[in-house]
Amino acid sequence: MATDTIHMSRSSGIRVDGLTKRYGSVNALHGVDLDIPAGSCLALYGPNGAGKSTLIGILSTLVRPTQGTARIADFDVRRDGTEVRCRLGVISHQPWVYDRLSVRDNLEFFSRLYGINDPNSRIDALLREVELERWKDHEAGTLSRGMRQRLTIARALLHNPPVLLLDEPFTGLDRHSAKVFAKRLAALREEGRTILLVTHHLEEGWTLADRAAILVRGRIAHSVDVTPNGIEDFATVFDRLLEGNGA
Amino acid sequence: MESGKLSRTRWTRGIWIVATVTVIAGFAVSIYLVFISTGIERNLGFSQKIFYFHVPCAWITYLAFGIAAISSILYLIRNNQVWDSIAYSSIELGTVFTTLVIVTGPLWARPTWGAYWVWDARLTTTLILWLIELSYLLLRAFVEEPEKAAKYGAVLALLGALDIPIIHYSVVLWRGMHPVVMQSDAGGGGLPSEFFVALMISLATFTLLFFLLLTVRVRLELVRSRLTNVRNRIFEQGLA
Amino acid sequence: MRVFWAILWKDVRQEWRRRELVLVMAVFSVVVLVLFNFALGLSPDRPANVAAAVMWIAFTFAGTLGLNRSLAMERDDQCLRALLLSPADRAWIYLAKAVGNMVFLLIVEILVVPLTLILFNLSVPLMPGWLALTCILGTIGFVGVGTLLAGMATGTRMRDWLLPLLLFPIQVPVLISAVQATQLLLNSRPLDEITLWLQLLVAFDLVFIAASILAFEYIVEE
Repeated sequence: MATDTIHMSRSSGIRVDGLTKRYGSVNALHGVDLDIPAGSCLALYGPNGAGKSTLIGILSTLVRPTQGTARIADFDVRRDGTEVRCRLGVISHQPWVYDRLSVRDNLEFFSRLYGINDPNSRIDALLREVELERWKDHEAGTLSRGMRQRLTIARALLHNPPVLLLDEPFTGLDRHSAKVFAKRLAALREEGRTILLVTHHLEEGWTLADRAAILVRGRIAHSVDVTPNGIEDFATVFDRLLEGNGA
Repeated sequence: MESGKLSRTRWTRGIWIVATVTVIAGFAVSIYLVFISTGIERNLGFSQKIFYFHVPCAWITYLAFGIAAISSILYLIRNNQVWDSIAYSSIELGTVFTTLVIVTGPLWARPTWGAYWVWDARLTTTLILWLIELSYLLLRAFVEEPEKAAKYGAVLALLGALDIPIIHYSVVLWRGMHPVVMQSDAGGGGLPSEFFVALMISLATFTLLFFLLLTVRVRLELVRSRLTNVRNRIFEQGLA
Repeated sequence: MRVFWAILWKDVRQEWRRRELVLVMAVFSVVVLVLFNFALGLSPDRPANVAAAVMWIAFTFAGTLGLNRSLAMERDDQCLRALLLSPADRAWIYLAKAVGNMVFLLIVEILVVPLTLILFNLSVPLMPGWLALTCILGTIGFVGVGTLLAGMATGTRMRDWLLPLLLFPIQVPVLISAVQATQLLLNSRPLDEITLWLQLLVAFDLVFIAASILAFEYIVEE
């Protein structure tokens, strides 16, 4: 994929300082600090209810934090929401595509939302990349799950965002699709994008990431650099934390 | 610390006692004034006395909704749960008073004009306000997440507040040439002074009662939501 | 602004393929009209007044149906999230949704108004343009705040029933004004009697569209 338009500046990272989100008197997030430098990838693990979705929600400007700051590409998510959204691509386990529209129409619609210049060539290029060219006139609802995931990637990349948030993207993918998807993510990483990957899949995350962290009950409980042999130790720590939680 | 808000210092207890006594005294005085001291109104007869309860209830209705609207704005801006508790409690309490208005209205209208309901502007607007209050309570009851419920409620309260003057105006236009039926200016702005005094005392008493009840209700609401959160926390940790 | 057209066009095109909303609303309106005719007995006194009232009741019910369905569809596709994640201005998103709903309801009205005239044996009013304006203003008011309330209601357990409870009291001024204006028009009353009601409609529309756009921001943020 063409990398010419990605701004690989120092300020394309994700920075979270003392982020807290309170619902009533329950802390979904409690003083979370994260620093994901531009071009690197953080894999975030955690049990259900740990606050991962809340974190993604705040970073994607959909949830208002109670305290603390989050900055994406040097823009504050609260104050400069529009700027953040211009530079952010979100891939979730939900496809967020319109079932009744064709693949092409979906991408055309989203490119208009994002104000892409010359959308047609961009769409064609993306369709080639994710290998959905043959299906471009099929209704999105008729695609298999793996194919819809590819469409979702294409949609998220339309505006060439330097920062990507991935919210459990491997959910529901069969083994083969998951492998293919992981390869694509690796390619995205090669292009220098900043990636926050929230996942349950220990191995896929480990392969992609530079750092790995565990979120438990709203706090970062453990955080290490990724090394080729470190996965077992990490898994042990993870299990221990889960047990300690009574989860 | 939060418990400080909920604990009763001697000072606040003193205020409570004074306030409660005042309310009880106020009601005693009002009832005396209404039934014994003031005379029977010439044109409308004994049933006019409902006026001393109907009018304060109507006043409280709009006061409550006004408080709810202002609290809602503050909640949306500040995102502090206390404002939401005030808004919710105010509407809940206000609904009771609105119901009283709608019930006492026909009770007065029937002996006076022979009809239970006349579509006069004020009563009709109050009726619609009642419906808005009910829909508010239903909305709050059926939205799952408490924070969302609070936000939705706040918006609805604001929409309602904006709407009330428009509703009133449209009903006034609609009823057109009808004589201004029923009314607090039972005498046309020139209430005999004894009626006026009775009305004011009744009004003051009801208002004080409303604020007392509101304070109790808001506290209750704050405690209740704390309890829910603690319970949720326990479930989350798998201890229960 | 192009976001507005993009969303509007997408919704219109989806509806054109599905044809779900407009058909359901139109059929429902006709059913309501016919039912009222039976309930009121044939040739009621002052047919123009009755016709105006029944017509707007039909639009209110059909409109509610349409609002519910339209927002349910968005929710089914989960795409509201995708819209909110884009840099598109929330105000435009809301307007696009509201205008889309308005277009669908207006199409239904174009079909149902002549039908009302026929069923009640009324002649075409002397000032059809003003009748059209009344319908447009009334629909704007109804849909303007209805879209917001539908957005709130579809998230709840009560789903379809909650919207009417929320919407009907709030849009009483619209109903009163629209019905009055329509009655006067069908009775061929002079224009100055009618403009008062239209002014009220305009006031309501402006206030509530502004309020709804502002409120939408708060509704969608968590």
